[in-house]
Amino acid sequence: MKNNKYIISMILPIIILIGMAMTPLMTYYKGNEIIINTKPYDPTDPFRGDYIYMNYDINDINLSQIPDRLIDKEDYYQDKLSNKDLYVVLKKENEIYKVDYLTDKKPKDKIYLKAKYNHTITDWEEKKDNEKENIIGIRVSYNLDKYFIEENTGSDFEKKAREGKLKAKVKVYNGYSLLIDVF
Amino acid sequence: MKKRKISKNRLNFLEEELEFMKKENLISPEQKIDIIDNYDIVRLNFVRIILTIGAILVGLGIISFIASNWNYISKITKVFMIIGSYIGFNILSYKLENKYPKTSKSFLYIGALIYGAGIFLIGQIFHYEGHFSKAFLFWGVGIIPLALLFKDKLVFIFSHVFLLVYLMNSYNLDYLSYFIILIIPVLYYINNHLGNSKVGTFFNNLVLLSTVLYFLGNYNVDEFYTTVVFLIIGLFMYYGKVNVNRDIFKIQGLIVFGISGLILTSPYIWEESFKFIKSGVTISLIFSLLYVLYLFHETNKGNLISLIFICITIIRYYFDTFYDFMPKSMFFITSGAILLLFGHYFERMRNKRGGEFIEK
Repeated sequence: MKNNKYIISMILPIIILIGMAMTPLMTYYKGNEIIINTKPYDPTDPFRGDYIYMNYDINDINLSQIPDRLIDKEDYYQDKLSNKDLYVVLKKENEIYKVDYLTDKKPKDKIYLKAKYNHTITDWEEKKDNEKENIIGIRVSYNLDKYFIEENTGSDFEKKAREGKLKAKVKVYNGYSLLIDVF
Repeated sequence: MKKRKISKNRLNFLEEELEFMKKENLISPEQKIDIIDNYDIVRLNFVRIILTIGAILVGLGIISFIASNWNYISKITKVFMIIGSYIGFNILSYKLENKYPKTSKSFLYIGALIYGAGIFLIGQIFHYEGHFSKAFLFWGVGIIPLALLFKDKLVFIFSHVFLLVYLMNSYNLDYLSYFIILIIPVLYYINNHLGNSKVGTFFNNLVLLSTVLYFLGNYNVDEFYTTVVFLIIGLFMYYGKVNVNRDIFKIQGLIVFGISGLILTSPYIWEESFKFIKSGVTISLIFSLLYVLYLFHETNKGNLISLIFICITIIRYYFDTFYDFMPKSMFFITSGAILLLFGHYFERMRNKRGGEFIEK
């Protein structure tokens, strides 16, 4: 009984820890490596240490890259997209991966990232008669928005980031994306 | 009959009182001995406190070590190190359980802390995205079996605290954990299993209330209806016929009722929800009157908490009405006088009947 007590109480924590590490580890060992452009800055997480908050070129999707059936051009609140799994298919341009198109169906034989709709991007600079026409695209997020770094190394990264010199190395496996390096 | 456990101070007090009664010939010397014999002193265990604090410090050290991020070890090795040291501390605890039960317990605590640190570390190694409130959900849930199997109240309370941190940080996130609904009955069951402690019931209820708020918030339920729901819950908790720790239910019920009632005394909340009401002043005044009358009724029964809410309501109205156009000195004198009156009323009530929650 004494053994059982210890073993049973350890099952759930071990399952949770392995469960959390499983997909990222699979991605780390079996995923395709891609490089994307970044635009970051750096806050701190009290439990997980220093990190840089990452933004990428591929976070912004233009209207032309979204199928008409997915976007409501008359509305800022994209109910059709929120809480939906979206896939962003990427294409390679001079070693850097960029957005090809967005879809809601899992692509086959292509490099794609699973994404979530964040908000609609509008361009208020251009004065148009119909305000709704200001919608120019959407912003999505990936499993890539934080990059944890060694303590007190944030300022160096931040400086490079401000100069727009950072690139991110990412591994992709079945749509799951794992940040490997920022350089 | 099982001996009742009380602190040394309380036992001394009881002994003095019984001695007095014996002298007054209200009880016989045998009766005094019989009564005292029913009690046992709870000793604050010094070794246990030291070991628990030690365990927490080691655990915090491990979390902090992890947060400083070690880049020189491969990802998979890091994962194995976390799980390995978690298992390691559990084995140590197991080995020491018979010979040094208290030290064994503190290794168990370190294990639980390493598990929590492990959640954050895995989040860090793999750059988990977004807000990490879910880590606290995993942590809180993961240690529930430990609390149950080892009948450990400290771990049990901590699992509640982690769940509360998760719930408090999870408004308006893009996912909703229905899973938490399944956990709540389990928490009540475990508290029952651990002997229905008051603090356990208090935290059980707190998690339940936060869960209701979490769902109402995430379903974007109007502020007004959320407040009304809590007003009703408060009344249910106060009047409900629960067999276990009824006093805790009553106190919490009255606090929930008091806070939600206080929110409903604001005219704005009525105006926001009912567009046809031009000004919420009348309806909020009617509500405030009923609310304060009810609280007076409760106060009359010797309930100090309801008196506190009456006091807050009156001061709220007083601030709203007079702050802008009264000279500062008058404002402070009058507020002071109101508080003095209430203080006096408290004291009179205490002398008169001695309610359930009267301060000593």
